[in-house]
Amino acid sequence: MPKGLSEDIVREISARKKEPKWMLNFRLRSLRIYNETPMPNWGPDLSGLNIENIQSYVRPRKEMVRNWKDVPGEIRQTFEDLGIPQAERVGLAGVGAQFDSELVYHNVKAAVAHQGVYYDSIENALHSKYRGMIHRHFMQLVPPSDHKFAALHGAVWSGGSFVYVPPHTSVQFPLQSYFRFNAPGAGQFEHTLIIVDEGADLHFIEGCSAPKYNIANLHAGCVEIFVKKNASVKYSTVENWSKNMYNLNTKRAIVETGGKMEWVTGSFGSHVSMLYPMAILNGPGASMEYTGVTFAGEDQDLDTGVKVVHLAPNTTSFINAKSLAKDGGKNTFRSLVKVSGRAKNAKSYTDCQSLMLDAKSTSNTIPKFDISSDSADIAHEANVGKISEEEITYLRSRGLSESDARALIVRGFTNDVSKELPFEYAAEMNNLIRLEMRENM
Amino acid sequence: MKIVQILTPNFSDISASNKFGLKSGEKITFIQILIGKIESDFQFFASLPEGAKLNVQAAIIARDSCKFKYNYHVEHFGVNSESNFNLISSLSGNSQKETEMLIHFNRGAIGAVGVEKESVILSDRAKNVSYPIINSDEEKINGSHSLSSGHIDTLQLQYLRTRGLSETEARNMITRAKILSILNLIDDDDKLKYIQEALNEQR
Repeated sequence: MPKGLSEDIVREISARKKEPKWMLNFRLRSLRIYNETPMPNWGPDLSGLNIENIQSYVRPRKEMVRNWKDVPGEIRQTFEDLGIPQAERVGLAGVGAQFDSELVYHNVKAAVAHQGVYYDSIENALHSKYRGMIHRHFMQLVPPSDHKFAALHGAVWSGGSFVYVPPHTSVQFPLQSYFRFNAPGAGQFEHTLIIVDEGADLHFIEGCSAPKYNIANLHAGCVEIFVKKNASVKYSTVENWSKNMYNLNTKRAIVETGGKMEWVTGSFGSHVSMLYPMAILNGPGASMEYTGVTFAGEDQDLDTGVKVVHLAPNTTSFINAKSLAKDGGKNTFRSLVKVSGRAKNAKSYTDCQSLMLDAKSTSNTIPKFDISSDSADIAHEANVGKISEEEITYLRSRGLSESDARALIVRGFTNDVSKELPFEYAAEMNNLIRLEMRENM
Repeated sequence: MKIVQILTPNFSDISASNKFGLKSGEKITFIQILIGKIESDFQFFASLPEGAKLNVQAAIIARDSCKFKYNYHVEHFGVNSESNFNLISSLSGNSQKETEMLIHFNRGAIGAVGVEKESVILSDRAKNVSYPIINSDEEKINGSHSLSSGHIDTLQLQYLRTRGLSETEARNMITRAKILSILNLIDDDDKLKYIQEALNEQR
């Protein structure tokens, strides 16, 4: 498929996927909105991103399969190297593996399927008994009018997963989607739609990586999560895109009465990131927790954070954000806590800590609080600073080298995130931090 | 040097722009008492060279349909420069306040310390928007901000009402207690009397 974006390309993507008519119309409407919407006039510099140079659809040479043995050799080897099949065997309830624009592997364990849990590519789901549910929920939380890259996503989305967890079902092991990007100069626009019904719970893990090329790649995925009454969802991400990537992803959840949404995010890769997971606390007693770490190194401008909107009484949110900057990297924490007049007795606490690892880097903290409830309790603390010399001296007196001492302090600083992840992912995250710190020294 | 600025409802629309270019090693304490009535727009800017120390203590009392905009911006350029901003606000009625607080540590401001602290008491249909921003281009600094937003403790309110105060009087008394730490920094009795009268007038 050619580079750039046109109505012909959008129609071609839709035709290849044999989509229902409503989806083609939705794509075309999104394209119109994209063309009418200006680039964001805030945040990181996006001037290096030219959509005319981006290939919005790259189809792998093989249809999606449900057995790793049927995945073509070189693609399978990539996922073997990333440890995905092994992780599936050890502790996952199901895995979706996307290579460029399409899923190449999708499987859910029989025991989980028996519980009534549906986990498949969103393209397959569009032709399943869940097609009506998808029609009612697709891009309702993140409408194409939300911002320019949401509109782009609506026009050219491809791949991603649909998950439905029936009422009062507890999925004991996490589901995982892994997104691998191999084509230079291409875009990845996967859509993840998760609906967790009343009283059910789910842990979903998203991983992403790509080799580095010297031309820009674009990731503009979208995650929409519907957390029904008294349901609970944990969404964990370890993002390690290559450093030529523009990561302009959108993640949003709506949480009904008594429901709980938990975001756990580790952002390490990308040239530019603009990523602000959001929760809309729509029912009384709904809650959100965000635990995130962002590590910006050389030639990285990572603008990350979180948004929460309290719309109902007794809703609570807790935000714990850590960020690090080194080697001239730029790190920006940006957040919004909005409490409406209806959100009586809402409570929100935001804690953001930034660590500067050298004098070449930049760290910004830009939270926003918009409070209209007289009974809300809102608290916020933020701190920007450096690694304490006393801590380094103490660790060195215990026999550690300076680099090991610094790495240990950084791992301690990010421990809040790693302890929220399953062991294998926490180990991967700590490994990424160790590699970054070794490069730093 | 200590500077006290009091702006009260005697002004229907009030606005003020304060710019401070401190000298090396200079220390300034700036106290602001802002009692708003209709629309109010405040700009505060300071640049801090080596060893300069700035302490801003501000109280905002907004009632009725008052709309406050407060912009605080401090640039740290010098080694060991210090800034401290403490803002206490009480918003009631349909009043609205929007505050943008920016501390920027420029490269070379080694050992600089910048603190923003804001506490807001909201009541009725009031609305508060705060952007506490810290930008840093220097590693060896310490920047922090904190925000607490809450409401008047109903137990305190009930206690005062059982002592014969009307709800408005009780609320005013609690509000004055909240800003007492700032009022205590004002040595001039005439100014304190003037503030008291302005608060009473606003009931």
